[in-house]
Amino acid sequence: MKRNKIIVTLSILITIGVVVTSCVSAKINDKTGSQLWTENCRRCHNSPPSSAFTNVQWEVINTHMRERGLLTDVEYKKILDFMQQGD
Amino acid sequence: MKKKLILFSAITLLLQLSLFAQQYNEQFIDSLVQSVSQAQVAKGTKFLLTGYVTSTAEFTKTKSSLSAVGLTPILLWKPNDRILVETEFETGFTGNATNMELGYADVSFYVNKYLSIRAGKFLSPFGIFQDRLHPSWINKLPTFPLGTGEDQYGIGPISEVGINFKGGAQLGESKINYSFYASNNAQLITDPTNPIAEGTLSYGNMDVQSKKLTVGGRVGFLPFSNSTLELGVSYRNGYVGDTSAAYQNVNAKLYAFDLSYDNQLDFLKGDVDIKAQYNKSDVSNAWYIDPSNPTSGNLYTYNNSRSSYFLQAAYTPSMFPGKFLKKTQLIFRYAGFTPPTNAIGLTDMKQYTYGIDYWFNWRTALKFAYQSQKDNNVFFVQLAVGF
Repeated sequence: MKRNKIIVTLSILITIGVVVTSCVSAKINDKTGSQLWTENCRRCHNSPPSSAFTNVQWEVINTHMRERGLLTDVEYKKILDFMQQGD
Repeated sequence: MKKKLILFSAITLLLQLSLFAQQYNEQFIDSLVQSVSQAQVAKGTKFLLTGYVTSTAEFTKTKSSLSAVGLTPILLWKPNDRILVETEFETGFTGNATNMELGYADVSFYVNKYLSIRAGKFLSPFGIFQDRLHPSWINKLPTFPLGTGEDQYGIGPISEVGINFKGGAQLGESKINYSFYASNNAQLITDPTNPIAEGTLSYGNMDVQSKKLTVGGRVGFLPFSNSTLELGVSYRNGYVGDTSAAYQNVNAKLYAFDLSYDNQLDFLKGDVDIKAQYNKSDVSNAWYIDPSNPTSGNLYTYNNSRSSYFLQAAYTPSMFPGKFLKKTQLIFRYAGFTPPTNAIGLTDMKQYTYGIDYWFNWRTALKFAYQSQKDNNVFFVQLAVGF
C-alpha cells in the first residue's frame, strides 16, 4: 500500500514535470534568436551589434559567453544564428 | 680577344639577370601563395584576441592621481566544436613596475547539451560579481564592491584552480544553471604582523596542501521565461589550514546568495538593472597569535564568522528622446562588511558609491563616481574600453 502511494505520487510528479517542461520548453524554443540575444546579453552587459565581429569570431565569442552566462544549448545556437546573419 | 671578353661578360650578365628574375619570381610567388594561404588559414581559424583597457584617475582632498592603467587581453581559441580554450592576462602598473597576472587559463570540453567540463584556472562561480561582472567594460562603477575582492574585507575567491562541471537547462518556463567544482584549498592567514589579514583566507596559492580538495558550486534559477530575474546560491567547503597539527583540521564554509534583475520598464521609461550579493564565511575554531603583542606568543581565538554584501541599482533612460540621455546611466551601490566579533584590528565597514556613466558604444564607457567609505571619500573618473 505504501509502495503504491509512492509510485502514484512519483508518476503524478513526473507527468506534471514532463507536461510543464514540454509545453513551456516549446514556448522558449519558439523564441527567435533576436529575442534571446536581447534577453540574455543584457543580463550582464550591453547587447553588441552583429557587426561587432565576423561570423567566425561570433562562434568563438558566443561559446565564451555560453561559458560565462551558462546559456542553454538552444539559446546558444539561436543567438549564434542571429548574430551571424548580420555578417 | 676583346670581343670574346665582352661577349662572355654580356652572357654572364644575362645569366645573372635571368637567375635573379627567376629567384625574384619564386620569392614573389612564394610570398603571394603564403599570404593567400595565411589569409585562408586566418579566416578559418577560430582564434580571437579580445579584452579591455582601463584608465582610472582618483581625486581626494589631499591627492590627485592617475591611479590605475590596465590592459587585460583575453585569448580565445575554439579548435573544434567541443573544445574552448580561454586565457586572460591582467596587466597593470604597481609603482614604476609593470605587473602581469594570469586571470584565468582553462580548457572546456562540451560533453553534451547540458554539461561541459572545464579544467585549469577559472573564475570562481562563487556569487556573480567576479564570475560575470568584474571586467571594467561590464562593471558599471570604477571600483569593485566592498567584500568582493581578495583583501581583508573580501569573502570568497576570485578564481579557482581545479576542475569544473557546468551547464544550463530549461525547466518549464524557467531556466536553471549549475556549476560545481573541486579545487585547490584556500589558506588561512595566521601572520600576527598583519592583524587585519589574520584570520582571512588567501586563494590561488598553488603550493597549498591539505587533506582533501575544496568542493563547491553555484546553482542559478531564472524563474521567468524572459530571463530578467536570476537568483543564485553558492557554497564552498574545504580545509584551509596547513598540514601542521595546530591547523590541519581547520575548515572554512562559505555561502553566497545573489540576485540579478534587468528589465525595461515602461512606467520608468528606461532600463533598470539591479545586482546584489551576500557573502558569508565561517572558519572553524583556530588559535591565533595576539597581534597586539605578537612577540609574547599569547594565543587567542574568536568566532571567525564574517560577512559582506552589496546592492547595486542602475537606471538608463532608454525610452527618453535624444541620444545623449539614452547613453547615460545612473548608478548607486551600497556595500558593507561585518567582521568577526572580538577579532582584533577589524571594524564594521560601509561603502556608498554614486556614479554616472556615458556609453560611447556598447563596450566603451566614461564613468564618474563618488565613493564614500568611512573617512575615505574619493572621486573617480574611469575610461573603460572593450575590444
